[in-house]
Amino acid sequence: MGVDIIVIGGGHAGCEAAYASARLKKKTLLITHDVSTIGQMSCNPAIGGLGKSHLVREIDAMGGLMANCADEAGIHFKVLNASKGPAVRATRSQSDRKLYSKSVRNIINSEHLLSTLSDEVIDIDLQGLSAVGVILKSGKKINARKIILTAGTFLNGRLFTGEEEEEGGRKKDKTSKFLAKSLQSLELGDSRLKTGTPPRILASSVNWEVLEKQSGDSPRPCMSFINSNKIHPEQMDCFITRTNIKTHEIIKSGLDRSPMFSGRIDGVGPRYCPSIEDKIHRFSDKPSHQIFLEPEGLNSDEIYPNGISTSMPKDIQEKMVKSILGFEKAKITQYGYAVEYDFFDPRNLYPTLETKKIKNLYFAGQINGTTGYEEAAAQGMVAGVNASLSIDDKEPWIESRSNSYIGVLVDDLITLGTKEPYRMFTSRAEHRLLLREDNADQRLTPYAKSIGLVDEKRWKIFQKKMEKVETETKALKELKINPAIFGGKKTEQQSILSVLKRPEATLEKIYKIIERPMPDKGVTIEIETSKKYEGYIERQKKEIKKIKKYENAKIPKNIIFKEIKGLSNEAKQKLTKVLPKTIAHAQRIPGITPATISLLLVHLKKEETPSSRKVGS
Amino acid sequence: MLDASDTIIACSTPPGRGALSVIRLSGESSIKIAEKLLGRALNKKVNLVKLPLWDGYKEKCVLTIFNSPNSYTGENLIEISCHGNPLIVRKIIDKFLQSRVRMANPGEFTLRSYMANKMSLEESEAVIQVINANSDSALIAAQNTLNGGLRKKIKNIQKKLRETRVVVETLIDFTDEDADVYLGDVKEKIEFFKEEYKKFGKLMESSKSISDDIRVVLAGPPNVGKSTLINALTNENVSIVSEIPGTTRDVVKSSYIAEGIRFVLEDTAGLRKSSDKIEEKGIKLAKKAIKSADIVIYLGLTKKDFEDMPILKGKPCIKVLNKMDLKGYKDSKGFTRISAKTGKNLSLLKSLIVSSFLNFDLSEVVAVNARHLSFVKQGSKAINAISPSLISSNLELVAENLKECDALLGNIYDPISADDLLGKIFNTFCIGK
Ligand SMILES: Nc1nc2c(ncn2[C@@H]2O[C@H](COP(=O)(O)OP(=O)(O)OP(=O)(O)O)[C@@H](O)[C@H]2O)c(=O)[nH]1
Ligand SMILES: [Mg+2]
Repeated sequence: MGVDIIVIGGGHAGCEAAYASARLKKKTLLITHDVSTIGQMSCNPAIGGLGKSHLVREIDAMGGLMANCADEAGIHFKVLNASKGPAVRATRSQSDRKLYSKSVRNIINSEHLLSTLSDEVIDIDLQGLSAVGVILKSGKKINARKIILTAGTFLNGRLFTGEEEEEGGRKKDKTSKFLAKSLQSLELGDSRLKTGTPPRILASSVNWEVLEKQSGDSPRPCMSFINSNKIHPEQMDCFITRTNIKTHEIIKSGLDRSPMFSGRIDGVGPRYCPSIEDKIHRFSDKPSHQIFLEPEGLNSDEIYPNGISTSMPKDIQEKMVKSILGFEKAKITQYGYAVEYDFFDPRNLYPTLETKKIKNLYFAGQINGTTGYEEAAAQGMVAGVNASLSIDDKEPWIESRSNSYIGVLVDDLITLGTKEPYRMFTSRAEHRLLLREDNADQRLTPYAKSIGLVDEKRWKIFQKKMEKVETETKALKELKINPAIFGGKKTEQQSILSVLKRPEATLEKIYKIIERPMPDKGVTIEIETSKKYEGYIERQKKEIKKIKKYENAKIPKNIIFKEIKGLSNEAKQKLTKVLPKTIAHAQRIPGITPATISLLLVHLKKEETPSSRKVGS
Repeated sequence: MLDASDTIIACSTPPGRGALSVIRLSGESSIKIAEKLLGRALNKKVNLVKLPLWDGYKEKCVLTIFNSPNSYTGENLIEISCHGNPLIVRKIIDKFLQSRVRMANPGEFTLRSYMANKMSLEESEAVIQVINANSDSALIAAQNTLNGGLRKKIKNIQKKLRETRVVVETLIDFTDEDADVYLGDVKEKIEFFKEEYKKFGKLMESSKSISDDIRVVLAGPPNVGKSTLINALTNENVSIVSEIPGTTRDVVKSSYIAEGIRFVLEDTAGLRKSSDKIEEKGIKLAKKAIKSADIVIYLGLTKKDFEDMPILKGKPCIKVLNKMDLKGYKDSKGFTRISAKTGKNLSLLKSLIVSSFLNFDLSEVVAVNARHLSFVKQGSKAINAISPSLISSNLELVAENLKECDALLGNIYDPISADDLLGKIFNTFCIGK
């Protein structure tokens, strides 16, 4: 028995990987402990946010499933940074947990080349240094040409609540101990990370009257390029409360029994999403921290209080929760806990996410040191597409940092590695202005179409948008208005396009004034932004051109950095560790100086000129 | 082309005769090559050797050995001290050139030192400035830069810039996360930073002029005594003096040193409407010189000579009334009175020229070259483009301008990564739900 591609794990990375490879016509098998948990949201029930929604839109532009599921399950939508420019606007959605995983399972199950299996993989079957299949707990082997491992937090997962400690990757789920052990023997550079969750609270026990309400946006945005908000289910509100001095005192009184502070957890946690005990410890002069109450679903009586992730003992959690406004009578339905798990140094991966050491084995998701559904899904897409392209003997899909957040994500991971769970932020993208949420389709859909990843429906929608952008731009160039309506002295009439350069001018206002029917938002944002960002984009493009030159300067695979004369020992070590494929890649390695780059360039030049004198004659 | 594996040689002392000349030989195999050439081991730090140069003539040299990485270039390096005779120097270098050694390109020793991470870019540039310095202050400035003074100054302004960036990026990336930063903070920080950058830019500009020379242009109507003044100030007879108006045509240069700074004076044609073709050309040259001058000394005889001079707008200018020795000379407020002919008040004028430049502590001055200054100026452009309305409508563009300025300054020595910036955000603000 054999398939083209085996995906291990049914989380966000696994699902995108399996779905992408099946759409690329590869016979795909997704193996997970329990297929009924496929598509589960194991942390908070939200998708999107700064940097993250950008990833979701890119996955969508590649025909992935995350955006669509978020639309089908979304019960609250908000555009963050709406008062700032389009490059840093981001959509955030709350999902109904049940609807979300149902939506994922529906898509997975309807893909005819994709099948699923409930079982435990305990080892990767190797032939020399190539993966050829997996070994199940029963001892049964399944052969495959490519294996994509997306084990999330399940590798050697340990859960901590106060002094209690148990095995597991998620509450109520088993850990993958055997697989962790066999992977360790491959020496791929594993170490520990940690993450945490807050206690869940019974919604009916909360005093909602006293809390600040936050409603979703209207009009309601969509995650996917091809959906309309008509597919959204009924909408719900979120609420906000805060911790207080009393809460902080209760936490301090239990710190000695916290696994974080007693040293039982070695793993490094994220700095941007610290546990509440971390927060009051590190920012001791802040009297209060915000808690965002996220509904778990339309028919759920549970609340996810985002902001008080903790691994404090249960009695402290009880007291702490009850000290918070609105929670005076709150009932905890599940205590907060910290998870510590194995991850592998992503610098041991190629940009395709194939491991450098074991051929045909790909790693995606949290096992590469990332956190977040969106980051996981993006990697799943990268691994799934590249595994498929490799089977077909086609050029790999390697995104540049200037074309997508996916490119930034992969490049950061394989070049810099990570010491804490890696999360995407817009500030990680040096070409942020080019990578907007609303133009992900322009950046990726044509490529996805060229490899057969997107269907006719999406392609048609995309083409229609681009045609409209073109005709509307032409029309606006001809139409004239007086720029004085946006302040300043009355002057001559100007073309609408040039008036758009003023910070105050928006197309929405202009369309109203000239009484012209407004096209889709995707179209107006594109036109408006290309005008407002004009000078900036030109400059970024120039920079990119410079980088391209170095991007094209390939470093041969068989290069031995240790033997290059003039390189410092430090540089030799760093280069040997990362094995950069291009000069541009080498440049991004921390600690590699411009001087080192010049030496490398000189070395490459020398290698390039054929030593014709030695050969022949 | 630059090739780091070659062994290079060059004479490091100025050409010409003297007591000693020092030749440097650098490269991985430099010691081996020297040993082979001499037919003996060089196992001591300092070796006295006799080098056969011509039949019957052996040059006594001292070879000082610097082993890698403890040398100027970071490579194996030998300093050969010989008699200061160009013939001997050339002969020694020739000997080595026949043994897999090549002539060093200008600055190549310093380049290698930079390549070996012994020096940062701006420090290696300062080496060149130390060598070329032609006044005390330029030398001090170059040395300050060599000791990391320039980098400190840039790092200092970058630190302030990054504090601003941290607030902007926090407001962008953590807008929904209770980070306690507001748009008002950004506006305040940016206003503050603009002021700081202005001061920084001014210091860089004055530093640049100190490292170069200061160009003082003498201008004014014909026959007021400009040529007499340049001769008097520099104590040299370089420019023709005559009672005929329109004598000077070319720009005549001469220099003097005061307070450790070198001032280059430029005498120019008298400004007037002229029908003489050649004089007209001279006046054009004069105007060009005025435009690019660091400072202008405008010379006249009466107040009237100073009316309607648009060309002087925005130029640092010292207004001088000449020929105070003459009878009927009229004094006016705001003018410096001198007599170029008798020398009266010339030392006062000199100190005025110096003080119009030295409004800062000399020990603070760093060597700034044209490359540095162009980055500083481009940075200033990026910062000044941030308007209050841009902050309100497009904070991401504000971030872009700040980032650009940061990168430009970083070009002077080294860049910052996104991860450093995020680290700052996490340390400054409590972020995370
Ligand atoms: N009494 C007196 N005569 C002066 C003084 N300075 C210059 N002169 C005389 O003024 C005449 C013009 O002097 P220049 O120095 O040639 O004047 P200039 O400004 O260079 O003139 P152009 O080159 O024609 O523009 C000469 O005869 C000088 O001797 C001064 O301080 N006192
Ligand atoms: Mg003259």
